[in-house]
Amino acid sequence: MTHSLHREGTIDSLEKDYALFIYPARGFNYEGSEPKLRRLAELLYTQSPANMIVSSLRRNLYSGVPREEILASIKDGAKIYCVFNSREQLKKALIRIKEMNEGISVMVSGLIDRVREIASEVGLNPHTINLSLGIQGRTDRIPPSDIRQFTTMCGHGMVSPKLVRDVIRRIKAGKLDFWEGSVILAGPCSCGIYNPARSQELLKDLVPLYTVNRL
Amino acid sequence: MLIRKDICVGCGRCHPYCPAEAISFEELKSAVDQEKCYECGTCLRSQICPVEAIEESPNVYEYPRALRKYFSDPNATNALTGIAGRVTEESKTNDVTNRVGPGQVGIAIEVGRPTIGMDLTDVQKITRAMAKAGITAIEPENPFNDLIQDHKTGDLKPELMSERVLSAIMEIKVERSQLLYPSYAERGGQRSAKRLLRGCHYPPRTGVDDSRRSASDHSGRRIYLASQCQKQPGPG
Repeated sequence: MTHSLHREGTIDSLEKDYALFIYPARGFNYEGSEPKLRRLAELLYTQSPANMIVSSLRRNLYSGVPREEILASIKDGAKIYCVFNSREQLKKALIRIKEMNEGISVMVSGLIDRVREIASEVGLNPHTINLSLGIQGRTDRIPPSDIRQFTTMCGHGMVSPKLVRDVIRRIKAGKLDFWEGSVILAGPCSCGIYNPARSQELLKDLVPLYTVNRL
Repeated sequence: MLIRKDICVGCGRCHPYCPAEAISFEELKSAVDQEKCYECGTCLRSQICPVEAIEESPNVYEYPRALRKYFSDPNATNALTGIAGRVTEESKTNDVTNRVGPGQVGIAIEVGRPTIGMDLTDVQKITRAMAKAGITAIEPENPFNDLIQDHKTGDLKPELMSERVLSAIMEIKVERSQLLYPSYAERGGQRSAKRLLRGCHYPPRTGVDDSRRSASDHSGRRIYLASQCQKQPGPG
C-alpha cells in the first residue's frame, strides 16, 4: 500500500498532483541498483518535479542541499520519491522512464482514472493496482478535512495539523507569503511527496476563511 | 524525544511541529510528554530549535520503547526487517516480487494514520477480531508479526500494551474468492471483486449531487472518481 492514496481534496486540486515512486525490491534487484537509480534520479530532476527526495539523504528540493550531493548519496536500494504538478509532466517522465527500461519498480499514484488514461497513452499496462477503502472508525478524532488536505500530502503523517494552522496564522499576520508557508509545510515530509505548488493554491483558498486570535 | 530544560529558552517554536501534540510549556520551558510522544523525530529533523535543545530519548532504542521509533519514524530502519518505514515493501515492488499473484488480493489494514497515532491496545482489538474471523496469517516479513503473542487469539505481547505508535499496518493476502463476506453480499447483492477494483465498492449514493462532493468526504476519493468518471466522456 502507499499512503499517497490518502491524499484528499477536490477533483480539480488532485488533478494537479501525481506521486511517483521508484523502488528496488530487496532480494531481487536490490544489489547493484545504484547506477540505475542514479540514472533515474538524474532523469527525474530534468522533468521538473514539484518535489523530490532520495531516501539515502532525505533532503527535499527546497532544503538547499545541492543536487550533486543528493545524487552522490545514492547507493544500492535507495528509493526515489517525487511528485508532479500536472499529468503532462508525469507523462513525459513516464515516457523517458519507459525508454530507459532499468528494470526497477515504478509506482504512480493519483486520480485513478487519470493514471489509467496516462498509462494507456504512454503504452503501459499497470501490473498491480492499489486502492484505498477510506478511513473507518472514530473519524471524529482526525483533523478536519480542510487541514487534512495538507497533512495527507505527507504519506507518513509528519506534517502536523498544528503546523498547518500555525502557517495560516503567520500568513495572515503577514510574516510569510503563500509559497514560503508551503515550503515550511513541505519540510517535515521526509518522503518528499508533499506538493508545495498544490499547497500554495490550497493556502490561497483557505487563508481568507480563517480568523486568528493571536498575531 | 526530550527537550533539555537547561538549554531550552522557551521560545515554543518546536510546538507546532509535533504531530502528536506532545510538546507543551512546563514552567516557561518546552517539555515533551513521554506518554504522548511516539518518537517520530519530526521535532529534531525540523532543526527548528535555535539552541539545539531537542535530543533523542536515551531509551529510544530499548525494547519495548523502540517500537515507537520503528513504527513512527519513516527514517528509522526496523531492526527486524532491515527496511526503513513501518512495514515491508508490500505491493510497491509486486511487479518484481509477485508476492500477490494473479487471483489474489493483498490487504493492508492500518491503524493510526492520518496523523493521530494510537495505543497498541487499539491494535489488539483489530488483531483479535481478525483472529476471530480466521485470519491468522500476516505477511511473514511484516514486523507486526513479532508483536503478536498468540496468532490464534490475536493477543499482542502484554509488555507492549503501554506503547503508542504513529501507525501499524497488518498485511494479509487472500484468494479473490475469499474476499467477500456473506453478509456483505447479502446486503448489497453480488458486488464482485471486479467492481471493487473499479472503485465502486460502496453502494451508489442516492439524492446526492456528486459534483458538490469535496474533501469533506474522507471516505473515498476513489468512490467519487468512479461516479464522476461515468459522467464524463472518455478521451477521443
